[in-house]
This record gives sequence, structure tokens and C-alpha cells, in this order.
Amino acid sequence: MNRWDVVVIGGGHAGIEAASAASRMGCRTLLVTLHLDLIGQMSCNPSVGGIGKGHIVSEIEAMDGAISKLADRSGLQFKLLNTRKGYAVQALRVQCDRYRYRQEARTYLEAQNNLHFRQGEVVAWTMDGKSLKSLRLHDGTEVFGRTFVLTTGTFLSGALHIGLNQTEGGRGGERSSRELSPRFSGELGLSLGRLKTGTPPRLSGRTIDFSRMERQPGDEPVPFFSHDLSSHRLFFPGPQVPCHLTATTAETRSVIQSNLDRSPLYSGKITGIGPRYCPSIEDKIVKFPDRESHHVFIEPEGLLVDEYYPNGISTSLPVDVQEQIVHSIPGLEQAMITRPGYAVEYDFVFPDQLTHELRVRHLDNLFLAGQINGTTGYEEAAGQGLIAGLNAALLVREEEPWSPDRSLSYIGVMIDDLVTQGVDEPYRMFTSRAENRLYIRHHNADDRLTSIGRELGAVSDTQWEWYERKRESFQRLRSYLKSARQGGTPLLQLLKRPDVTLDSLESLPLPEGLSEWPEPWRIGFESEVKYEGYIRISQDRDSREEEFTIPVGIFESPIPGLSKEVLSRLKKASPRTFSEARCVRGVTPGALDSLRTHLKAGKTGTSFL
Amino acid sequence: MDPIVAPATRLINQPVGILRISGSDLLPRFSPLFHFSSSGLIPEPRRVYRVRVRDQSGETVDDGILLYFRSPSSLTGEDVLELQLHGNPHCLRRVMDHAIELGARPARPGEFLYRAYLHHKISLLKAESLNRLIQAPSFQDYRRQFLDYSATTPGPIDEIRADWVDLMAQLYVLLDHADLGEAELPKPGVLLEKIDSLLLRIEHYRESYKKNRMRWKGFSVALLGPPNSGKSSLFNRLLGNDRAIVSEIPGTTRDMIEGRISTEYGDILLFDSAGLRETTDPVEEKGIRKSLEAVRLASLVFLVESADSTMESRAFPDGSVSKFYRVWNKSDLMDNESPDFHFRVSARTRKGIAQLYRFLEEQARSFYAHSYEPDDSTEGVVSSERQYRILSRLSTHLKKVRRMVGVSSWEIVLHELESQKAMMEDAVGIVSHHMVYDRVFQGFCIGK
Repeated sequence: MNRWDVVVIGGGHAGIEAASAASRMGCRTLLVTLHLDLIGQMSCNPSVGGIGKGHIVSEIEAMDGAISKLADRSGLQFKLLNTRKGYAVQALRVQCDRYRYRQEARTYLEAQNNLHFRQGEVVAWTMDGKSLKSLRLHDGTEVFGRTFVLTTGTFLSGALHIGLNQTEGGRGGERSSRELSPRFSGELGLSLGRLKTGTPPRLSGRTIDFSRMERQPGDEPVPFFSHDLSSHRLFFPGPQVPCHLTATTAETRSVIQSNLDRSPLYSGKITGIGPRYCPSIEDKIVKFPDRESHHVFIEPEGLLVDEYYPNGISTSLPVDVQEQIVHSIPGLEQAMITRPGYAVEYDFVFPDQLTHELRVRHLDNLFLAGQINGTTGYEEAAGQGLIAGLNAALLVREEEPWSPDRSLSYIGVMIDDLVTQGVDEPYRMFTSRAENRLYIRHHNADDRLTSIGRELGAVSDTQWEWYERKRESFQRLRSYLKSARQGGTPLLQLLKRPDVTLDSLESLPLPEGLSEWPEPWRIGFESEVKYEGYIRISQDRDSREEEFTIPVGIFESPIPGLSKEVLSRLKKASPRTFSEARCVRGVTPGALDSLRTHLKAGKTGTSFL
Repeated sequence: MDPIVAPATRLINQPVGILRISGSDLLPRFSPLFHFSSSGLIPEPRRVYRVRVRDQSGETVDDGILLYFRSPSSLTGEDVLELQLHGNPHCLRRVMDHAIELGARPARPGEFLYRAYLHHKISLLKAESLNRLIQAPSFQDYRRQFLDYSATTPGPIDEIRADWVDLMAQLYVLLDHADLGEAELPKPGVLLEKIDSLLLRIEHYRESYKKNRMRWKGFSVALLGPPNSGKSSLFNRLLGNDRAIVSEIPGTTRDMIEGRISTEYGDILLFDSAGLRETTDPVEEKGIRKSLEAVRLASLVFLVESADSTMESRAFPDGSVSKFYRVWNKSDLMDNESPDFHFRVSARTRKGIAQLYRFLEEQARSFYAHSYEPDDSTEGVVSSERQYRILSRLSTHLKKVRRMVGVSSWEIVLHELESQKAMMEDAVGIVSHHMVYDRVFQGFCIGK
């Protein structure tokens, strides 16, 4: 029977996470996707994690999600980044085998109870008041659902650009959903914008001269995302696969400069806004004409394929120019392009039309997650997928919705930014976005989220037991370090010093079992102790009026001192606390003063924490 | 917002008196206040109307001019009604009472400007600048304030914000864009240089504020002396003696300006002060401390004594003796021929007051002409005590951050810098993540 609790449309990284979360929470879930073989496709660079992004992955893992496990199981190379900075901003990045990843994603999803698949294109839907009732697929099948999660990525009116040629398509070689966009703005009443992103050409490995490049190996011992120690092994025998570093040259620059008239970006063909932090090589050359060279990282696409991803030369120039660019780079003089780079333009939904649970504000049961909300990256998509899936399930179970606070997680920061500020370029996570970054660390994601995930029913018994064991071990070590002293100073106090580590304490009789601790625990414990002082201070500072809660619906009527424009922005964003209101774009200090006065004056059930 | 009403001119007898009302949807609520020659006319915004004005009982009490400005194109950003009437305080009060009956409330001091600020008609910085413009004690000062007020080039606060944003941008890059490679990443030395140059900039503006603050005070005279020596009588007499009093500002505690005499050279600012004596009463002691502070800042000090109230020598404040003038008051009761006294006056009988006043005028002329060199620099200035204090705190804070560079790891340095973001925003306005990232993209080629 085609009746489901949760219907997820789209089998990308957001879709996988949403479907898996909903089914973990016991909902009968259907995943509808254009092509079943392409579930979990890594359409951009073959890596997961990185600074900011890796933090999101660790948070998904803390709630027993998928992306962390899939990355671990398909990883070719693992590296902890920012190791020369403090633990708070360190993050893991995994180079993945693109093909293996897809396979693992399929296997992972098939192992979920309650989860089923259906290949097909959504062509229409029916509404029942403010609820979505059913979807119709291209083959005429009607799918009924109580809640829907839409994760269509870059497929909405996607247009691919290579040089001045333009074709329809969602990403390399796949078709896009053209009929949906007008229905989004029409039937669903959603306001759409247009964004752009791009990829570099892929190269044939046997034509690359790696000896002319700098070899970049993975970390030893191998760091993993998942808690489950039994999965901490490479999926292939032998050492990790290295990446290689090379760079563009003055010749690259002149090739690009003399071909700008053939660039869809600079000839005005592309109107969508691209991410500034992920620029095309032509962007870099135009904006920084004085720079002799830019880094190019040669990343393996898979263990069994001889194809490479030159990260750093994303381009939409014509194929013959792409060839010249590639050949101007040391080590790539003879390299052959296996598939050309392209830019893709696509429609997205302005995310300030969503609630913090990623539900469309004016509809009852439709959630949106992933690139459709104006973000970039697998990790950002997956983080949203998790929240949308959880909340779809909560809605089915008729329970209170839940969304993570921005002071507690990067996912919370992301969602809060999206729904209160909207986007005007593709949104990507950075640690700089998180005010509370000293607390929300890679190594304590489980402390922040695992118990909540367990309460919601999204965390499995094994993971929960493992977490409890960790907490207990931490507690034991902590009380030991409190009582044990060296030269009169408690060891815990010693450990707070920047130069002291657990390893350096180990000449002392530390409690048994510590030597069996996995590396992430050791780092987790150390960072917990080392950052404590700072976190306490910052919490004191923040606990003033920023926690002023704003009653629901307060922006429905005029507020003295707030201009109509500011009021409508606030109404749209409906911030829940004063600190959120502060972040809404266009809200001036004067407007905040008025709001503060109004909140204090009105007996509207506000509270100072 | 709720309608407020206030006279825009002082309530004294003068040719013209102006009332203003500001609030949302003023019409037709306040139309009973006035009527036109042609009945039923509803005033259009930004036009001038000749109207007759009524009191509560409906009786016509005056005729004058009505101006109507509709939100948002007005002084306060709300609807504004302005009535220009004859300057009789009794009539103006009566019209105001009528407005109050119609639902307006008397405005609190500065409330019109505050509303302009709330409705984004004027920034806090501009409002501060405007206040100083109005209060300027001489034309030179006025001119400088006007340049500041009307400046379109970035002021000191904008420059400081730009530096701050730049500093944040460096740290953002260090945290999130390690893939730029060692060569591209900002070095601790660069950060230190940036912090130092920001500190220098802040120091520069603090210094110039301190210098300007002293000057801005204008020519000021403090009346000092034991209780009951007749200081207040003398104060009132000096103010009342001159027809050109422009204002009496009650209790502006920060500036302590209590009376002002406008002369063609510039204003004479008079400070009355608490009587000096030994005391254990904490309230009185506070008053005395304030008096001594006034003495320190004053250009000139009158030590006032009288036969029934002389100064104990040990109660004399420290300070440069050259600006002290001894005044023997109540000379009608008992004169004092001692040459120690520069002036012998009687506030009650006005004896010697004219002479004292001429002396003051002469001193003011020379103060504004000599010790008060005009400053023609168009360089922006920090124009309020509030900004000055924030700059001082900012400077302390930055010094702390500076000590951490190269010692603590970058995320801790950024954490420390951001911890005072709210204060920084009080000084310069909101600094959003977006603004900092704009700076990042200007300076660095980010992204693989």
C-alpha cells in the first residue's frame, strides 16, 4: 500500500540522512529518487569533512547518523586539520572512494528497518488545505504520506554550463527536474532564487606525473568519525592513498585572461550567485591578478578507478581552454581530461521561509533540506537532512518538534543562520560563524547531542552504551585527577596548562584502563579540561539579556519604534530570543533598543535567565 | 508610538513660540487643536497653513502657522505637527494642555531626538554630534561641530570599526582557511602590527578628545566658598543681571554647567557649587567633591566670602592659584578693606556687580581670543564622553588580546577579541559575520 509516515524525495546526502533518521525513529519511510543507483553520489569533490564541515559530521555521528559512517567505510585517506591550533577548531577530513561511498550508502539504507525505495520522478502533488497529501510519479503512481521531506539539491531547473554551451541537467550526466520550479512558487507559494556552483575537469591518472608534485599522506594512526571502534579500519588492504599538491602557473593565468570572453561567468550568461569561498579558477585569476600561482590538490576518485579530481581549478570555460589550463600546471602537462568541468545553475528556496525545524512555515507537513535551501556541501546537506527527518518523524508521532540551539551545535548555527538571515550566496559552514566555538568541538559532539538523540529515539543501544561508558570513564579519571597531586598541585589543575597533556602525565600512576582509551577520548578529555575556564567565563557574559525570550506572534502587531520594514523582517525570521533578533539582517541597534524596551514593558510572559 | 508634545522654544515671553507633537497617526486625532478658514480641510503634508488655535473649551486662543509632516518623512520619522504661535507662555501652556487632553503626553527631555534615533532618522553618533553642535559655547566650536555633524567622510569611529573588522578577518582566515598554505596565512607579527596601529589610532582619538573636552568647556567660572557666603545669590545676580541669558540647564551633572551668559565673544559658563566645609554627611561630601572637580576644570574661580562666613584656610582647594579671585560678598552689611580681596560686592544691593561683570566679560574675550586657538583641521573627532569611555575600554581590551597573540592558540585569541563584541557594537554599530567575510574575500584568495 502506498501510504507512508515519511516520504523523502531525493537520494543525496540530505535525503539519506532524513530517510535514515525517520526510519530509526520507527516511521514507515519511503525514499523516492530519480535513479536508485546514484543514491549517495558525491557530485563534487570526493571528500567529507574539513573545518566547520567536519564539526557537522561529528554532530551527525553523535545522533547516530549516516554520513560519518559512510565516510569512514569508504575512506581512502584520513586527516585531522588545524592540528597547529587548539582542539576546538580541529576537524577531520576524509578523502573518499566515490564508488565505494555510493555502495556503502545503499547497503546502509537497506539495513534500516522501515525504509523502502522507489525510483521515479515527482511530477505533481495534491494538497489538502495546508498539508501535502500525495505525490504523483512520472509513471502515474500516487504516493501518500503524512509528512514529506524534499531534498532535491541542484536539480530544480538545473542548467549546466561549459563554455558558452548550456544544457539542462542537475549535475554531470544526470537530468534535472524542470517542471517542479514553477509549481514550487505557484502551488506551494515558495519564493525561489538562483545560485551557481561548479566543478573542475576530472583527469586520467596514468597521464599525471605525480613525481613533480608534493605528496600529502594521511594521518597515522588513522582517525575516524564513528564511535564504533569495530569499524575503525580501512576498507582496503595497504596504506592510505595520498593526495598530491601542485599549483597553477603564470601560464595558467595568461591562458585564462586571454579566454575570458568565452567564459559564461564573465560574458553574463550565468546570473546565479556563486560561493565566494569556492571560486572558479577564472574568478581567482580575475580577482587576484597579481598572484603567480594557486594551489591545486590532486585527489583520488576511487581505489579501482584511475581518475583524479584536481581540487582548485573549478571552471566553466570551454573544453579546449580547460585543456590548456590543465597542461599549464606542473605534473599535468600530459594529463588527459576524462570529463570536463562545468558550472551548474539551479533554483533554491529562500530558507527564511522555513522554521527552525526546516518545515515550510506556511505548510503543515513539508520539510526542506539540503542544497535546495541555499547551502553547499554534503555535510551541510546531511545536517539539515537529519533535522528535517527527525522532525518529520516527531510530527508523525505527534510530539514536540526539536531543533538544536546555535550555542550547542554547528547544525544549530547553520539552521539558525539560514532561517533568520536567509542566504545571498551558497551557505557554507565555518568555525567563525559559531559564537560558542570553544564549547562546540569535534571531540565533544556526543556530550552535546547523544542524550538528546537518545531521547528522541534516534540513537541505537550500542551507541548509547558506548557513550555511557565514555562518560563513566571520564568521570573516573576526573575524580582521580582532582585528588592526585604533583608538587602540591592537583593533576587536574596541571592539565589545564597549555603544555601539559595526558601523555606527559603518564609517568604518574594514572588509573587502570587509561591506556586502552581510544585517541578521541584522550583528546576529548584533555580539551574538556583545557577549555573549561574559557567556557565558564563566556557563559557568564552571555547569560544577560541575550536570553530574553520573545513570545510567539509578537511581531504580528506593530511595535513602537520598529519601522515597517524591520518589523516585516522580524516577522519573517520570527527569532525566539533577543540574541537571534540581533542577528536578523537589517535590524539596527535602535530597533533592538525599541524591542528591548517593548519586551521589558509588556507583560508578555518574558523572562530573564 | 504614543504621541508626545513639547514646546520647541522656551516658555518665556517672546515674539514666537513653537509647539511640536510627534507620534503615529496624529490626524484626525489632533485636528480639534486648530481650525482652518475653510472648514473640513485636512492638511496635506509639507505645506504651510494659517490656522486658528483652540483650547480645551473650544475657544479660539491664538492664530498662527501649522506645518504637518507625515511619517516617515519627518524629524522623528513619525507624524509631526508643528504649531508656530505667539510667544506667550500662558497661551502656549493652554494649547499644550489641550493636546494632552487629546491624548498626547509631555515629552521627556531629548525624547524627540530619541525617537528620531529609534526610527533611524539619526544615528547615535550623529545625535551626539548634534547635541554638541547645539551646546557649542562659541562660534569656533560650533563650526568644528558642524563639520563633524555634516561630515560625509568616515569618522574616527568608522575607521576604528574598519580596523576591528580587519583584525577579525585575519583571525577568521587563520581558523577556517588553513588550506591557503603557510605563506599566505597571516603571521603573528602582522596581527601585532594591526593591533598596535589600532591602539595608536584609539590613543590618538582619546588624546584629541581629552584636549577638545577641555577646550569645549569654553570659558567657565566656578563660584566657591563656605556655606552661607551668598554664592547662590551672587550666581543668580550675575545671570539675572544680563538680559542675554540663553539657558539655564538644571542638573546636567556630567557637565556641571549651571548657568550660561552669552556674550559676543563666546559663552560664560557659571557653576554654582556646594558650600565648602568639613562634613561627615555623605551626601554633602559628595557635593563638595563635585565642587572641587568644578574648580579643577574651571577657567576661573571666585572664592566667595562674607563677614558671617569666612573660609578656613585649610579648606582651600589645591590648584593653580592664578585662576583664583577672592570676592567679598554682602559688603552692604560689613565691608572689608583688606587688599586680599579682588572684588567687594553685594549681591543684594548690586553694589560692585557691574564691575565684576565687566571683569568677566573682559576675561571671556581674552579667553576666546588667545588661549583658545581655532582649530581648522577637518579631522573627525570623537565627540562624546560615551564614545570616549568605550574607546578607553576598547583599548584596555585590545592590550589584553595583544598579550595573547603568539602565546594562546588562535581560537582563544579570537574568543577574547569577540568577547567584547557587544561593547564594540555599542561604539560603532553592528559588526556582522557578513561584514567580516567581505573583508576576508578582499584580502585573501580563499577556496580550493
